[in-house]
Amino acid sequence: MEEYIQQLLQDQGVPHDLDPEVRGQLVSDLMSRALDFLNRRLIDSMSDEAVEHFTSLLDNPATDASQVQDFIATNVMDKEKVTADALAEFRVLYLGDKA
Amino acid sequence: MTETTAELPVAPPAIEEFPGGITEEQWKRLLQIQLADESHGVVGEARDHAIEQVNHAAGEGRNRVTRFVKRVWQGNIAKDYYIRREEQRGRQEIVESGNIHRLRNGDQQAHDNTAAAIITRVTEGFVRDGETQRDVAELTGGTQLKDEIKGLVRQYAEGTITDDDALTEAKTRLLNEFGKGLHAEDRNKGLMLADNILDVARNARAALAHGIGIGRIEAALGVKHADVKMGATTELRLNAAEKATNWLYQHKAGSLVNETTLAAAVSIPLIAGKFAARKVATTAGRFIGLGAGAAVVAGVRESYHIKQDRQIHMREMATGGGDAIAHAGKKREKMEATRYGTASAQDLLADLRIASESAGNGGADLTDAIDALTHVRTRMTLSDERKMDLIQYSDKLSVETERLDLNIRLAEARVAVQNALTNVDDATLAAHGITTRDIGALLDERSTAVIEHIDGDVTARDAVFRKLQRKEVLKAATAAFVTSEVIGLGIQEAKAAMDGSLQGVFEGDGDGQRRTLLAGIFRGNGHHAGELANQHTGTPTEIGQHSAVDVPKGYHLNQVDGKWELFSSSNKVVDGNVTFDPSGHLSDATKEALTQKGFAFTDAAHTVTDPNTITYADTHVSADEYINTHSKDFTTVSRELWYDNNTPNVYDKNELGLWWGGENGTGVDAQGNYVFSVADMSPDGSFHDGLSANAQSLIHEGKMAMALSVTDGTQQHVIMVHINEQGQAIINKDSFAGKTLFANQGGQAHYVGAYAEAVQLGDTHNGVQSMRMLATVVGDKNPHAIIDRIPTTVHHSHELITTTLTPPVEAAPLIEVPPAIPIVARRSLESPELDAIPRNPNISPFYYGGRSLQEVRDWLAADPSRLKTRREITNEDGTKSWLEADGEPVVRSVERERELIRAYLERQRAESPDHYAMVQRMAAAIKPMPKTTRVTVNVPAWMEESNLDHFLSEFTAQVDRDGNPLPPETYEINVLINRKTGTPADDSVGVIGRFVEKFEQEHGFKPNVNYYNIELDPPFNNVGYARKLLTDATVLRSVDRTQQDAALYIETEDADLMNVDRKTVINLINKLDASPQLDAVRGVQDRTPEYMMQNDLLFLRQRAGNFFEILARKKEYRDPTQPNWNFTWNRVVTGGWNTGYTAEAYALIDGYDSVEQGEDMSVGEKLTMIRGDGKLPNLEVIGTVASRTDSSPRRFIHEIATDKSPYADGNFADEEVNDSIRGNSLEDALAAIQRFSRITPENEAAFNGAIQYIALDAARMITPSPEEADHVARRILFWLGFKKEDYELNGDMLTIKSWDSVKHALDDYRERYRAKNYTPKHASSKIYSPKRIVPESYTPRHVLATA
Repeated sequence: MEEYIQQLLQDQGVPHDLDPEVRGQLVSDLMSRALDFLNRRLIDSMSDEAVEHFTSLLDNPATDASQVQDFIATNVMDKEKVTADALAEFRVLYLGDKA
Repeated sequence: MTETTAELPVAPPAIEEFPGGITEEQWKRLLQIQLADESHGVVGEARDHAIEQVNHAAGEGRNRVTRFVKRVWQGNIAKDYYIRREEQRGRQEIVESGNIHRLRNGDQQAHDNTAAAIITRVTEGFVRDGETQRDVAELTGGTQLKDEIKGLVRQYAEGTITDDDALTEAKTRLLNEFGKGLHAEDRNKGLMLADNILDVARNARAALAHGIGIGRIEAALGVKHADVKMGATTELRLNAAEKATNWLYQHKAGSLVNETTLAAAVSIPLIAGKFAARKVATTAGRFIGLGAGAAVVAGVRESYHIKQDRQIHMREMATGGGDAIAHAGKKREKMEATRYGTASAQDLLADLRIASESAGNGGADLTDAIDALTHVRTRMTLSDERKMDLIQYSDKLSVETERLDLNIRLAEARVAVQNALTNVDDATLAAHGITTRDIGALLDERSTAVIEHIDGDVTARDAVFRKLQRKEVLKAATAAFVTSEVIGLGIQEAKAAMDGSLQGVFEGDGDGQRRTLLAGIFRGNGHHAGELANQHTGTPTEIGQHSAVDVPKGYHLNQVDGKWELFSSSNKVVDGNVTFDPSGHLSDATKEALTQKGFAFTDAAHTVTDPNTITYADTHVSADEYINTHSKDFTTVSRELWYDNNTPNVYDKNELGLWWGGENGTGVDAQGNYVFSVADMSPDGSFHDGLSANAQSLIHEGKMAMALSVTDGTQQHVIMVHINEQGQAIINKDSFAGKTLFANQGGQAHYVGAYAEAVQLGDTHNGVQSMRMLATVVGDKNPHAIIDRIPTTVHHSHELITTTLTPPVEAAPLIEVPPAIPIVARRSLESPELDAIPRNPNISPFYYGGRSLQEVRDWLAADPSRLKTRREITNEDGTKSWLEADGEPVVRSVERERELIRAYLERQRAESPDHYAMVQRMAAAIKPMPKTTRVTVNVPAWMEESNLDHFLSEFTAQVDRDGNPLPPETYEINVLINRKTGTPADDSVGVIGRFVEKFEQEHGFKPNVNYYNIELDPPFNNVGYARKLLTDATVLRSVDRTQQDAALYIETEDADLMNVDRKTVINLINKLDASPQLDAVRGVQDRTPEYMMQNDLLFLRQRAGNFFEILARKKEYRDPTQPNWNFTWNRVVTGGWNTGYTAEAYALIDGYDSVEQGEDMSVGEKLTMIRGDGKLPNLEVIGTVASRTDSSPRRFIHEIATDKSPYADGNFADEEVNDSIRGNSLEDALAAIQRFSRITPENEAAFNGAIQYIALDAARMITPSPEEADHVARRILFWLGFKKEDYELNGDMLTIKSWDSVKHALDDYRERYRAKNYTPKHASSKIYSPKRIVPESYTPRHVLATA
């Protein structure tokens, strides 16, 4: 995933010799935005019923990350395609005409 | 419903009661250590504050454009990012300060009150829904902590730890360590812990002192931990996506899918590949798709933000927000309509108090008490359970204390009501519908109605919100779609204009490899090979008979001088030597060359149809066949009648008039043609019944012809031969008729056809010619053989092999998908009363007095009637107006001024009678103020004998706008000669007297110069008090006038001015008259450049300071709500000289402060506060004026010479320092800093340090961000004469790499100044004899009883 983000920055024209700390912050911010976007698309692709179960899962303090990912794996049809589409879409949204 | 109340707390026993008289429960409670994790409150507080700040910042901007950009960026696109960043910063600030109210301007005491309230609440068992309380040993590391805390308490009780500070230090260290390890996986835990360790330790120490054994004490010590909720209750109600985002954020989990899925996804070429296309339709489709996607994203984002707006509005309103917030703007109004109804905490407390007091009365009082109890308990419980605010607390700092009060009062009321229920008789219960004496059951029973009422409100408000949400989401989505498409296209075209490789719609046809979508749409597919890879000319160029080359559309093959060349659509040569093999196909060499250029080849064979050939053959045909084939040579006829002259079967008259013509009647003429003749027919020789034909007439009219029939069977199709005017019908011997129907028999014509008829031509109908016969020759009916020429078509074809050239795909221009950027501005919640404490309200650089924001707030709060809010509004037509607090327009008013001055003086009389008495004596000592006086120039003079003559000469020469002397009574000059009691007087009085005398001699009248000569006792021998005394006397004289024409303005000055603007007075009058909203104005203060320029360090320091001040007061930084706003410098600073203010403003601020320095700055600081909203100042009531005046740079020279600030550390009033300054001439002073007169390698470091300090360090303190500080620093450096390459800004460091530019600039400045032939003025101290002096009786030795 980080390679994907680094590639986005490169395509956006972010200089290679940027201060490492600044670049790290950029990567972190962009990663966060990309994952937010992806997560939104994953949830959008769930059925209403699955979304309801999903929110219950999140409300449970005992839920951990693997349970969430298992739920997604079970309830999102073709999650690989959804993921790929979302990341492609995000790439275009981020890069605009540089995409 | 969860009960949130506990039993009435046990009253803590006095420690003196040990060891007896105390219950076991009380004993345990006294030794119960409670830790309360306030992290929830820290996070909530930081988040609320962050949202408020970002909302506020998003609504601000220098102009409409920047406001729009901010609304787009901070208000929408990057809002969440800014909130998180600000939240993180706020959280850190709270934790570092140890003050939960740090962001709300709350002091440590406020924090301590809150912490104490929380500790008390949880200790007493008032645990709220969602809170946990457990023995600390149950937590990770809790056992160790418990032991360590108990150890601390024991040490304190036994005296090993002797004082509170040591205990506090030790427990703070313990709790910090514990906090770090507390829920390490959750960044929001363990941030701040409240505790009562010190209180318990004191109790333990007291118990031990009272003889309780340490063992028993230790055994009783308990340590509990509570995870507490704080602040407002309303939480964001998130949908699944929002909830997932937050969950992932909290759990540091990035994605809902695992890394394997992500890795697989990112490897898909589409993600890394290009998104452009070569077809317009494809590109446009993707673009529209992007726009729709952007709309969806914008809609989702708006849905979240509007929920966030509602949440923050509810939370703000629940924590002290009043009408000012509720109706602060349209957005607030909308949110207010969706807010659940709340009840004031204070009202609820009052209800509970009444309930406690009156429940015992029984009857209606008891019923009312039960209702109050039900109402409060239900609201408190539902608030916690449903995470909504149903109670409104007084302010943000009071939430926890009021909540604790509610808990306690609720418990009290419950006890009171329970007691009343127990004691009341059955009849009363029944009479009031009370069904049970159990308070718990009763409350549960009655709460149903309250819940229903609240539910009804919640449902209604939620419905309003959903409607609003739908509307706003739709608006945002629509705006995102439209703007993303429009702006995306615009941006792409703008980029094309600057990007040579991208062809835009306005750039004509070109061969760029990339083009914009608009260019693609409007220019179609153009002539680009790539675009047209599969489109070809359709007319291959044939090379020989059996081969051809089809090139892409736009390409062409040309043969030049026998050589074939292939050209691209842009007419560039692709291959200059296209060759073919003998069969006409592309040669291998050409194919190789084109292959290397990316071309591909396809051969296709097909049959080419050649032109047909036709052959002819002579063939015998029948008459019918011939007539059919040559129908156009025959005329279809209809025979109407025969002119038989009524003699059937007898041929007579003209029937016999048809003869062979030609040579000698042979029927053959000289050319061999056959000739018939009717020339001899008589005019009346043709008739039939009543019909006749005049043959001669018909011949002349061209209406006769010979109709030649081939056979009997075809006689309806005749060859019609015209009879000419000579009556001859000539049949060409070579014609079909001549050859077929005639025979030349020995020179005599013979007709071998069927009939040859001389006919009168009638009408033609449907292609049939009617005719009437006049005479007939019957032929042999044996025409010659008919031979016709029959054509035969022969079809031809040949095979052609066409080589199709396909150009390289990569050479094709791409139609790029424009960016879909949803530029949607979002108006954030209005924040009219941001009460956040500015991060940096006061700073030390150049700070020479004035007050801090908090001091001025306190001053205002001490007498709220001081608040005289003014505000600027924008009218419907776009103009702006200033309004008073009551909505009336701001105007100058002499009456109001006099009224306020009288009130001020009255306060002075009441509070400082000695001072007022002094003021009265001073006012009475000099002549009354004329009614026309507009300005008083007030100057305190302490040991200024050497400067006063120059000062007076400058100020008595004031002119009007046109340069004419001002009318004398327009202004007056008031000098307060003052010194510390007992100090020897200088000759200031003498100087003034002599000046007046000289002036009178020169002008014929005395100048309006007044002076007082006084001694002041410490601590009142300071400039602040001197100015106050002088100004108070001035305003008293003003209100003592029986008439006053216009407002009075006060120009405050110093005595050591070098050059005074001759229009200072008139500029002050004009500016303040024209701008009634202004209370004060500041002119341009300089320090005599002709002196400063003699020393580079002095000059650069002063100029850098000047530039700093100008930039610091820029409108964009003059914003009290920006986080780094500086109370002292982000404003127009009022100074002690070249500054004017209205007499009314002076009265409003209660005059000058009696301070050694900074009284001048306080004038502006207080004025802006009284014109503000009570918390933040209104900085627009201080203006600037063009008057330019020079003071002496002597203090700053002294500073460089001694490295002592002229205003810090008491130097301003230090007599030794002042003697040192005043004892030297400026020339001598400059000589003392000679080493800095020019920049040299030896002193560069000092210059660098000075500029760094002013340009960068100070800029950091008055700008909202390091970037803005750098911007300010660069501006200062630019104005000083530095070029970009001369310096380096690296973080907090400014490094000057080259001084050449600034040296040149300084030299140039000096040169230009010298060119002006400017001679420095010198403050003189010429000796004159005084003409007018204040009588000795008016020279007071002043003592003030109170400040």
